[in-house]
Amino acid sequence: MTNTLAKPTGNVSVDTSELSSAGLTRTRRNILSGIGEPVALLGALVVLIAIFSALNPRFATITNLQNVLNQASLPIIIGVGATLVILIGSIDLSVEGVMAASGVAFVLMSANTRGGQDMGIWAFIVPLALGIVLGAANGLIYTLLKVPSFIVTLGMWFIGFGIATILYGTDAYPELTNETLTQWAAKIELGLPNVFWLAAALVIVAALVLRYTRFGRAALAIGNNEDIARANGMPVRKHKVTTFIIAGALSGLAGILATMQMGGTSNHIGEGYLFLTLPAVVIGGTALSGGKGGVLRTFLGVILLTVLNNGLVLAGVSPNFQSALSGAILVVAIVAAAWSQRGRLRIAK
Amino acid sequence: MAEPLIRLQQVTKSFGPVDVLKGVDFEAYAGKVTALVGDNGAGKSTLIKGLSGVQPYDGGVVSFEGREVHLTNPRQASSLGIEVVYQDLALCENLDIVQNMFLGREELKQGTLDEAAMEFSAIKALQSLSVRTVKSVRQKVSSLSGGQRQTVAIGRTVLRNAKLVILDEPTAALGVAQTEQVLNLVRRLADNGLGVIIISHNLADVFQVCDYISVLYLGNMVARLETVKTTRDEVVAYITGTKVLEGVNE
Repeated sequence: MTNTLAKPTGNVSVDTSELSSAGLTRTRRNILSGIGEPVALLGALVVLIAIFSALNPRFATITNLQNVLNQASLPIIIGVGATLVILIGSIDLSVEGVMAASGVAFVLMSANTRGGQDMGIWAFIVPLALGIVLGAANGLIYTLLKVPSFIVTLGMWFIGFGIATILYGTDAYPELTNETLTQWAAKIELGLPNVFWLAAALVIVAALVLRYTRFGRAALAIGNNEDIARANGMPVRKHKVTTFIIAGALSGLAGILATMQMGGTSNHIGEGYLFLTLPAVVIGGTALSGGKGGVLRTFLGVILLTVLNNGLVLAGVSPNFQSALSGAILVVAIVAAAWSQRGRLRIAK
Repeated sequence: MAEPLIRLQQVTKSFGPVDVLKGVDFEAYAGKVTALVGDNGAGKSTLIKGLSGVQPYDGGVVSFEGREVHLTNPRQASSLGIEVVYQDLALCENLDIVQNMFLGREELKQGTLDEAAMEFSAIKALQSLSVRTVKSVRQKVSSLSGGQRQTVAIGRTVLRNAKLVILDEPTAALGVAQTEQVLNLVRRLADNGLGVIIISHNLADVFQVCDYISVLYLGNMVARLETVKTTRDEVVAYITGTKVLEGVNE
């Protein structure tokens, strides 16, 4: 890449000391920049925690915290993929279908109450591959046939659900018989559940990739204006397909983990995850129009919503009101998050 | 006169039955600013799209640095050293100046973005153009004025080692002071040894900054004038077709 370095053609004197010091101030500023919104989010989180702690002393216990993080882990994992997709101005609605397909494939290939053969490591590889294939199909149909991602992934949702239904058949509910598997997710290591460590690791990896690689730069450029990205030689199609493959793989992983958490699965294993994750991404501050946001924000968004749900239960809010209440809070939160840019918020793309 | 940096001989381009370029001769020199003027529909954009590789010519000969070349796609034109700054500038508003200047050509160190090196090169490129209007190269483009954006887009061509920079209406949306800045920048590009082609409707700009003026009229090159030896009225006459074919296409 050195051939793209500037070759000053005139009599140019460059003060290198000034330049390198400029580089240093940049690094510092870059880390601090864009921290405003996450701070507001953290503030909201603190307020929620304070309120719920006051309403029920059981809320602010270690056990409950571990419980919250355990619940938040799957939406976080799905949210990483959803954020990558939304950053480029697309949407992936196939999450629940992919989860169902991979979850059912996983349980049937593991030791389970229906019998059959325990395929060992293949019980993990095949469901993940299923997620990758469905994600790749999303990406290829979206980019090659130029069908809006909303439509493609909506269809893929039901294709995944159909695969799950066929695999599931009509036999009894299959439960995992291997206790190591069923207890892994919630098992506490170093104070936190295993599944949360996994989710946190994925968030960190994704955050680093977005910040420090060409992939991340391309995501922001494509999200802002894919024609410009293409005109400057960025591999737009490849980036989009890769993004949907990652999202598919993460949905597949979530299907496996959800099955492990439940101890068994049906073709309905994914239900409810999409409509927890997408609002969390938006509340976190990733713009649905693309080009702005990140996985750390999504992480905070998921934690916020999970705390909200958990707190409402512990505060004794009747389940009948709970869904309406959390919906209302969601709307308020999204309006508040988008208030500063309500003028140029373009939701449909 | 030295060898032209780029020379077009009898290039043609048709869209269906419409001949947009009817055998056009054109040249531009390193270190000089050449204006390409003409009324709407004269074929300016088509001529430029051929040079940038976006829409290859149907016929004719293109020579770059004395060698015959076939410009078939933008990437290839860019690798030869031909860069176009389009009217809409092609900058991502959500990225900062450095990120935009290296868009699609990011430098890597051990597989990750080498921000320090890119920032250094960006500053160096802007300094080579004596840019003083930009405070920090880490500003987001969304916070820049039209003139500053034009500056970034031009700076990017320097960074890409352009030999020939083509500017499409560089001052179209700018105020007086900003127009002045951009014209100075254009002059400095040429002073740094680059060949510059400007498409403009604004003859005041053209007379201020250009060395040569080429006039297209309905797909024909009707005049190639030296700025110091012509007048505004003469150029207008060629553009509007009231004066034709003098000393070109001989």
